[in-house]
Amino acid sequence: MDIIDEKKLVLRAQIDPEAFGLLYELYYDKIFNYVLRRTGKVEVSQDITGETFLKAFKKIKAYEWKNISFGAWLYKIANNEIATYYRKGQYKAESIEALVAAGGLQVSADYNLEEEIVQAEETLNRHQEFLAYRQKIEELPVKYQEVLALRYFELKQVKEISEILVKSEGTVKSLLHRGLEKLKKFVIKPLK
Amino acid sequence: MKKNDLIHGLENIEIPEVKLEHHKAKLKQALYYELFRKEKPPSVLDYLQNLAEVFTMISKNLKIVAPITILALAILVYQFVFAAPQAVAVLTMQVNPALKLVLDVDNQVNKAESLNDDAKAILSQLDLEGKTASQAIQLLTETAIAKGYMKEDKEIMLALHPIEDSSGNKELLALAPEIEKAVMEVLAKSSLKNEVTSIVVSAKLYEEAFADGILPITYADLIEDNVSQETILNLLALREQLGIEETKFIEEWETVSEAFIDLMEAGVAEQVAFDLMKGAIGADKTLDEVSTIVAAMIDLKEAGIDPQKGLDLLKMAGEQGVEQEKLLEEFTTLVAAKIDLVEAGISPEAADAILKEAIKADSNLEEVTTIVAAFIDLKEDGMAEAEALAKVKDALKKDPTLDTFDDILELEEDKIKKAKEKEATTEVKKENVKVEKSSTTQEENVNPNKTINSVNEESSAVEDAAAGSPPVQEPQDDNN
Repeated sequence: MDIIDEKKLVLRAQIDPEAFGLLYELYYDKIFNYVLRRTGKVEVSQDITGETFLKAFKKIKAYEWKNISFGAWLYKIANNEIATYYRKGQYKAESIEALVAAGGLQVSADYNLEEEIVQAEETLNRHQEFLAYRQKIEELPVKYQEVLALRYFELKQVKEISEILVKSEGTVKSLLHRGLEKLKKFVIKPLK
Repeated sequence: MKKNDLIHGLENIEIPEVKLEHHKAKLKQALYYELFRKEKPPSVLDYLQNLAEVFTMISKNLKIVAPITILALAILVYQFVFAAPQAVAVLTMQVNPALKLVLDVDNQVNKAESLNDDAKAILSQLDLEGKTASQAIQLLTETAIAKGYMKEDKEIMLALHPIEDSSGNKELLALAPEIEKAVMEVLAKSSLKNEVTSIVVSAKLYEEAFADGILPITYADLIEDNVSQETILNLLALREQLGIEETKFIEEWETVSEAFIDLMEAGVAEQVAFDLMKGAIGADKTLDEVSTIVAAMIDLKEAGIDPQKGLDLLKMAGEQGVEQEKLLEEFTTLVAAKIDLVEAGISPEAADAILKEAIKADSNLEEVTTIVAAFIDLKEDGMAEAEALAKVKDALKKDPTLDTFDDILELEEDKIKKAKEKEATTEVKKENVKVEKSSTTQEENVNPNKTINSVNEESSAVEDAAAGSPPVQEPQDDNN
C-alpha cells in the first residue's frame, strides 16, 4: 500500500472502526515482531502490542497526517510502551485484559493461545545468533537499543527511523554510530 | 572485533519472524468491542437529560438572563429603526472554493465575492444578499457538498475580521461559533465529519496577509496555538526584510508557520521563536530547508543547549567554506555532533574547536560524526581535551583522506589503555615495596620468604585485574 492509499485509510479510520480494523490487519505482525525482537519475550510482546493498538485507536482522531506513515506512528507508540517495560522491569496490559473481560470474549480456546506462545518461543530459540546480538544490545541504554533494533532488526532506513523516533536524521546517524561503538567496546569486546 | 565486522554480523543475522493468528484474532475482537462501544450514538434519554440540564441552567440564571435579553432587544430595535445597514465585517470561507461575504451590522450578507474559480462557480448559482451569515454559510456548504468539494479530509475554514480594527472583535467572537455550528449541521445531514475551524483576526492581519496572497487557512494554526497576531504580522514582514522571492514565500508560508508552531510547542518563548525563525529564514532564503533547520534547533533545545547555537554552527561552517547546499543538507548532522559533544561533557570551547577541525577536514561533512565520536572516545578514555584535540588533529594530518582515521585513533586508544595499565601496576609495586619495608622493620623475626611471596601474589592479582582478566588462583606450594 502506498502512502497516499494509507493516508486515505487513516482518514477513514478516524470515523470508521472498520477502516481501523484494516490498519490493524496491516500492522499487527510488524508491530508484534518488532516488540518481540526488542524484548525477547512472547507474552510481554503480546501485551505491549495490545496496548499499542488500543492507544492508537484512542488517539487516532487526534492523529494528524504529516506525510509520515501510520506505521511510523505505531512504532513510536510501541517504543514508548517498551520503554515503560524496561523502566518498570515488568509489563501489565490491564486495559486490554479489562476489555476482554468486559466483552466476554472467547475467540480462541485457551490451549490454542498457549500452544501459539510455545511455538513462538520455539521459533525464537531457533535463532541463537539473533538472540545473542539481541541480548548484547539490550545491555545498552534504551536510546541506542531503539536505533540499533530499528536499523538492523527491522531493516529501517535512517529517514524512517528519524520519523519513528521524532529525531533528526543527523541525530539518528549519530546514535547509530555511537551505539555501534558502544556495542563493540563495552559489550562484545570484553566477552571475547 | 572491528566495527565493520560488527555491522556485517548485524546485517547478516537471520531475523526471527513469528505469526500469532489466535492472539491476533483475540486482540482484534477486544479492540472491536471497544471501537463499536465508542461509536454508539447518544440515546434519546441522553438527549433529554442534556435538554433538562440546559433548562435548569437558564432558570437558575433568569435574573441575569432577563435584563441582558431586554437590553439586546432594545439594541436590535434601535438598529432596525434608525441604523442603515453598512458593512462592518467580512467572513471568509475556505474549503477549496474560497470566497468572502461582506456582512452588515445585523450579520446579513451585503455582498459575496469569490476568491478563486471554484468559488465563482458556486456563487453564480446562489443569491446570498440579505441572508444572515449562518443561512448563507449553510447554503454555501450544501452547494459545496453537492459539487463534490467536501472530500473527507478537507478542513473548512471560517475566518471573520472587522472592516476596521477600531470597531473591535467582540461581536465577531460571538458570531464565530454560530456560523461554525451552522456548517456542522449541514455536514451532519450528509454524515460528513470534516473539521470546521473558525477564527477571528484583525483587519490589519487579514489585509496584509491577503496582500501577500496568503489566506486565513494558512495562518489559522498559528492563531489557534495562541501566537499573537502581531508576531504573525512580523513573520509576514520577513519576506520583504530578508528579500525572499514572493511566490516562494507564499508557497512555503505553511512550512514557515508549522516550523514556528513546532518551536513554540518545544517550549521556546514567542519572541525567541521569532528571532530563531528569522535566523533560519535568513540562512536559507530558498526556504527549502527551513523546517530542517528549525527541527535541529529544537533538538538542541531538548538537549539543553541554546537553539541559537544552531545558527552559530551554520555561520561557523559557512566561514569554513562549506558549500551552502551541502551545509543545509547536513546541518542536522552538525547539530547531532554538537549534542553528542555536550552530552559527553565536553566544554563548549573544546566542542567548538573539534567541530571546526572536523568541518575543516571534511567539507563534505560526511565524516564529521566519525571525527567527533573519535574525539569523545579519547576524552572518555581519560585524555585531557587539549591532548585529545591534538591527537585528532594529528590523525587528520596523517590521513587527510580519512580512510584509516579510525584505525589511527584506535591505536592511540590502545596506547592509552596500556599506559594506564602500566601506571596501575607501577603504583601497586610501589605500594608493595612500602609494605615490604614496613614489614621488615616491624617483624624482623618473621620468615622473609613468606612475606615476599604473599606480596607478589597480591601484586599479580592487581596486575590481572588491571589487565581485565580475573585473578588466577595458583596451586598452593606446600613447601612454603
